[in-house]
Amino acid sequence: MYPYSFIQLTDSNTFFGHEIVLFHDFSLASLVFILTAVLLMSKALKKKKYVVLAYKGSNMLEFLWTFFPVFILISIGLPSLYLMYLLEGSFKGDLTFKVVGHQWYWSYEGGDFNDFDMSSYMVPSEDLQEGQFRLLEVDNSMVLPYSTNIRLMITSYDVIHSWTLPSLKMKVDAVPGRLNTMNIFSFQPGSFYGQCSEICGLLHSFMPIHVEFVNWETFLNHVTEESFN
Amino acid sequence: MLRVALHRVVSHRSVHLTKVRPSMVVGFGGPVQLAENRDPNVNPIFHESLTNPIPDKPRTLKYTGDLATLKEMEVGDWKKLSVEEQMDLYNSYFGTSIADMCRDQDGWKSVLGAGMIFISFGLLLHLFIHLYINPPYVWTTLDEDWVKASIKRQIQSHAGDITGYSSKWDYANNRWK
Repeated sequence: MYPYSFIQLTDSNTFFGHEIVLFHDFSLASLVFILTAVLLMSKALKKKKYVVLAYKGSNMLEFLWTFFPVFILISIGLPSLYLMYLLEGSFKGDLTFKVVGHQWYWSYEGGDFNDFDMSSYMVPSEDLQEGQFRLLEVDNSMVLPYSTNIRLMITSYDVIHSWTLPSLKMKVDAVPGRLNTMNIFSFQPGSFYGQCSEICGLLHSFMPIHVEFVNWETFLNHVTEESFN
Repeated sequence: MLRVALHRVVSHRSVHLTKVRPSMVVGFGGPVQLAENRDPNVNPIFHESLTNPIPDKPRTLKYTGDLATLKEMEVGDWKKLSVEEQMDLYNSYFGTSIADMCRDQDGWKSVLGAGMIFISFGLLLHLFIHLYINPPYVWTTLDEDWVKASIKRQIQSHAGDITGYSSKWDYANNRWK
């Protein structure tokens, strides 16, 4: 959850989240380095004291301004590729759940629980109680057990949506006709919010995601209740 | 402003320019011939700048009249040439001296001033709309009471326990750290 006036990445609750935050910090450091170097160079050139000696051509200069950008790109690209393949991970999970995007709500089905099926609609602003989060509260939130490797299979019923949980550094596109798989794992119990991240029509901004990580007993009770309902 | 700046740049050397280029203006990238007084002997695509100071061809293509005489004198001893003649020979080959290229220009002040005028008009318009046109205030989720209640909710759910509100709340004593 983000505090007010917060501009950093939020706390991660997964191992991959920490890796992503570290990579983000590393990329920003590279960008700051490039920006500082460019600003210093432009300040030096602006002094108009220097006349170019070899203005017709310079092989050394061409080599340098090819090598350094390639070096920087490789240094950013290799960790990025490593992280990308790490995130895909294995497809094994202790539990499997299916997330289906609709216009304009999410529905969750329990792959291991045949009767488990529920829809999650946003609570309108007029119906919020004091202290609740605008455009984030839902009527039925997804309840999952924490410290459990859960496999999520995400798809869509109509147009492309995107299932996002910033606290777990997750963003998976829900594409109609395709099942995207992602593993979800939370270190600790808690309540995490997200919003649809792919433009999908009129109420794209009004289809939030709310996931609650609880212990196994609470989770099983919840699944049993929902199945009966 | 730019005209004044150009005039000031040109006027430093106007004494030496009358013989060679009576209708030259120092523009972007170098001297530019005015259309009504174009001299056919002068290279029209002449270009020089600080990053490319030595031109491919001289500025004057054909040396006629006084310049032809000066060119013949250039072959001999340069100490026999006066300062003005040396300057004319230099100006006939190059367009702008290095000192002229390095000279600071103050056109940016006009641009900055005009930009500030437009920004201030925009701010005035915004103030007018805010005071006289905007609808009356209704409740929002950013009211103080609502924000306090939402922060309390975040603390109760232990959200942000590393860098968020929960990390700054002392749960044992029920107060901020």
